[in-house]
Amino acid sequence: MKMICGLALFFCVFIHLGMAAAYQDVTVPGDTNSDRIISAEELKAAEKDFGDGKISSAELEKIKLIHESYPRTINDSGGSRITIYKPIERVAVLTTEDYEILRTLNCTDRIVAAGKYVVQSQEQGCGDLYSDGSDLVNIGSPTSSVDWEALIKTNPDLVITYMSSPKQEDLDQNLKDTNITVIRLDSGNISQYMDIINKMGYLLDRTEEAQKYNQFFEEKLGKYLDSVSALPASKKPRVYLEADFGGGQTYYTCGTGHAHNALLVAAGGSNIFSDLQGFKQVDPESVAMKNPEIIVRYKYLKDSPGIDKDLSDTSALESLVDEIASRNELNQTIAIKNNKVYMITWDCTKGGGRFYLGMGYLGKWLQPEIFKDYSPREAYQEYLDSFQKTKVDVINKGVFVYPEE
Amino acid sequence: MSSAYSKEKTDSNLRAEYQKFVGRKMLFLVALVFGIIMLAGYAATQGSADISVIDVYKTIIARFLPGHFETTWFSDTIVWGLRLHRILLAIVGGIGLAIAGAVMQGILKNPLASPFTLGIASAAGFGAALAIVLGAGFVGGEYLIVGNAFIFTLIATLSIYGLAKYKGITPETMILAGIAIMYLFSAMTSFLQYIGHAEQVQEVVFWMMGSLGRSSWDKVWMVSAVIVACFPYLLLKSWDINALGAGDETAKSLGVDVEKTRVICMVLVALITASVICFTGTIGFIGLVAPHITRMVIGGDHRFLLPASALVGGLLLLAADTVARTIMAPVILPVGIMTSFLGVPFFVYLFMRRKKQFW
Repeated sequence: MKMICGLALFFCVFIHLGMAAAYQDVTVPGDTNSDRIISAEELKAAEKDFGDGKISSAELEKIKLIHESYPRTINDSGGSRITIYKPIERVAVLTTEDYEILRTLNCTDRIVAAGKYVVQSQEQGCGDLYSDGSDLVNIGSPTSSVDWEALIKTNPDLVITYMSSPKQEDLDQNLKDTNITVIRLDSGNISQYMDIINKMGYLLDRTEEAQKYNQFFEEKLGKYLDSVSALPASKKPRVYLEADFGGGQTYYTCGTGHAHNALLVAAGGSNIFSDLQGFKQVDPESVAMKNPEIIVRYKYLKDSPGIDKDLSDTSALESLVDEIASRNELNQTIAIKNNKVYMITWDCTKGGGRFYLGMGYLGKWLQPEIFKDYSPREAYQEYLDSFQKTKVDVINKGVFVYPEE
Repeated sequence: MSSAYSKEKTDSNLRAEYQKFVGRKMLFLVALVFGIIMLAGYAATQGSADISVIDVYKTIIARFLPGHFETTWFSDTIVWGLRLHRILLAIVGGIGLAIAGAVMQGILKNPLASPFTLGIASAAGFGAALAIVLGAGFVGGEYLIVGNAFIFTLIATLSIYGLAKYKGITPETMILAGIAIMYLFSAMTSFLQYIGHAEQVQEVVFWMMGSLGRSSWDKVWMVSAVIVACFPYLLLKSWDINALGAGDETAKSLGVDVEKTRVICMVLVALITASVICFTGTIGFIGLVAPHITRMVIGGDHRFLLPASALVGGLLLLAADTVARTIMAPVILPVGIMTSFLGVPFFVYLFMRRKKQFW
C-alpha cells in the first residue's frame, strides 16, 4: 500500500515538473540553436525541411515572418525592456483599459484570459461594456487577487497589467517557472496613451489599426488638449478634487501622481493641492482657505453602473453635490457661491470613458470656451461603435456626471 | 497602655499614609483634567485657517456671552463647526475606549484584554462591511453602516457571554470566547471584502481606519450620553472589580455576585465601545494602554483607576489627533498612527522605569 502511495506521489511530482518544464520552453518555430532568433541559415534549413516535406507551407510562412520581423522590442510604461521573439497569439489582460486597447487594435481573438471586471462585466458594475469577454478565463483582479493558477493554465505569451499592481515580487514569485512575458502599461495616463497604442500596435503587428485609432483620438480630443496646454497658468481655474471612496470619510484629495489629478490637469484645471503626492486626507480648513473656484467630487456609487441608468436618474449624484454645498466651512468659497460643484463617477475613470467622458466633461466645466463644441456622449459613442464594437448606447442612456450642462 | 498608644499611633500613621496616597491620586486626577483643558485650549487654536489665538477664544466665549464679543462668520464656522466637536470627540472617544479597556482588564484579570483583543472591534468592522458590501443591515438610511457596527458589537458581546456561560463564566472562558469571536468576525469581514468590488473593499478599509474626521456635535452628544449613562454604575462597582482581582473565591466570600458583575460590566463596556467605534472606526491601542499607563502611576485601585484611565485615554487621543492634524498640515494623518507613535514610547518609558511588577 505504502509503495502504491509512493508511486502515485512520484508520478504527481513528475507530471507537475514535466508541465513546468513545458511552460519554460519558449519555442520559436525554426529556431535550431535556441537563441530565439531565426537567422538566414535557419530560414534556409526551414526551406529545406519544407522541400523535404517535413513542415507545411503555413509553418514556413510563419518562420519567414519571424525571420523578417522579429524580435520586436519596446520599453513598457514601467521602463522595462520587453522583447517578443515570435507573433503573439495568446494574451492575458488584467485591466479594462488594456482590454479596450486590444479591442481597438482588433486583437480580441488573441485574448485567452481577462480580469474579473471584463469576464463578469455585468456583476462587477461595468454593464454590457465588456460582455463580449464573458467566455474568457477569469484571472481575478490585478489590485486585490490574481488567480495565478488560472493565469498559468491559459499559457499566455503575454500578460498585460497596471504599472504597480500586481506587485513585482508577486509576479516574480508566481510566474518564476514560466516564460510568460509581462508588460506594464500606464494606459490611464493621457500623456502616454497614444504612445502606448503605437507600441502595442507594433508588438501585436497591428500598426495600421494603431494609426487609425490615434488619428481618431487626435481629431476627437487632441485638438482640445493642445489648446489647453497652450493656456497660461492664470487661465486655469483653481480646483478642489475630492475623491470619495466612502466609509463616511471626506476631504480626501488627489495630488500629483494620482490619475484623477492627471485628468484634471489635462482638462485645463489647477489643482489646489498639487503640492501633495497621491491620495491624502486634508484639513477642511485648508480647502476653505485655498478658496477653490470649482469643486469636483468623485464617487463610486453602489448602484453603478451608471451606463445602464436612465438619463433622468440623477438623484444620487444630486444629493452628493448638495452635501458638498451644505458644508458650512465651504459655503463662502467661489465654487459654492457660483454653484460650480460637479460630480464624476466611476464610468468616467475607466477604459476609454476616462478620456472621452471624464476628461471631456472636466474640460467642459473647467475650460468651457475651448470645449464648447465637444460632446462627451457623442465622442464616447463613436469610440464605442467604431473601435470597441459594443452595443452600448451612451447617447440615450447612462448617468455619468452631474450636472451634465 | 503603651501598646494601646502605639496601636493608636500606628492607626493614625496608616490613616495619614492612606490619606497621602489618596491625595496623590486626587492630584493625578486634577492634573489630568487640567492637562486636557490646556491641550484642548491649544488644539482649538491649531488648524489651516488663519484665525488668531485671540479670535479663537473670542469665538468660543461669544457663544456663552452673546453680544459681548465680535466674531466673524468664518471663525465661528471653523471653530464651532470644525474644531471643537472634533476635539471633544477625541476626548470622549478616548475616555470611552480607556474605560472599556480598564474595566475589561479588571473583570477578566488579564492585562491583554481590550475591546480589540476580544473581538468587539472586529464585530463592528464586520457590521460595517456587511452594510457596505451587501447593503444589508438592521437600520436603514444614513445610519445603516453605523447602526450595523453598533448592533454587531452587541451581538459579539452576547456571543462571548453565551459561549462563556455554557462553560461557566470565568476570565479564561470569556477571553477564549472573545478571541474565537474576533477570528470569526475578522474572517467574515475578509470574506465580504473578497467577494466585494475593489471600491467596496476600499470603503470597508476606509470605514475601519480610525479617524476623527467624521465627527459632529450629534456624535459627541451621543457618545457622551452613553458614557454618562454607563460610567456611574461601573464606578459604583469598582470595589467589586477590586475584589475580583483577588480571585473569584475571595470576591464571593466578600459578598460579590461574581458572574453578575462580570456580565453587566461586560455589556456596559460593550455599549461604550460600540458607541465610540461606530463613529470613529477602529482606534486601537488607547483601550489597551491607557489603563496600563494609569496603573503604573497610581496603582490598581479601580475607584481611582477607572476615572484616571478615562482621563489618560482622553488626553492621549486628543494629543494624538492634534499632532495628526498639524504635523504635516494640511495633510491629516490617520489618528491610529499617532496614538501608537505617542503612546508607545511613553508606555515603554514607564515600563522600563518601574522596578516592581505593576500588574
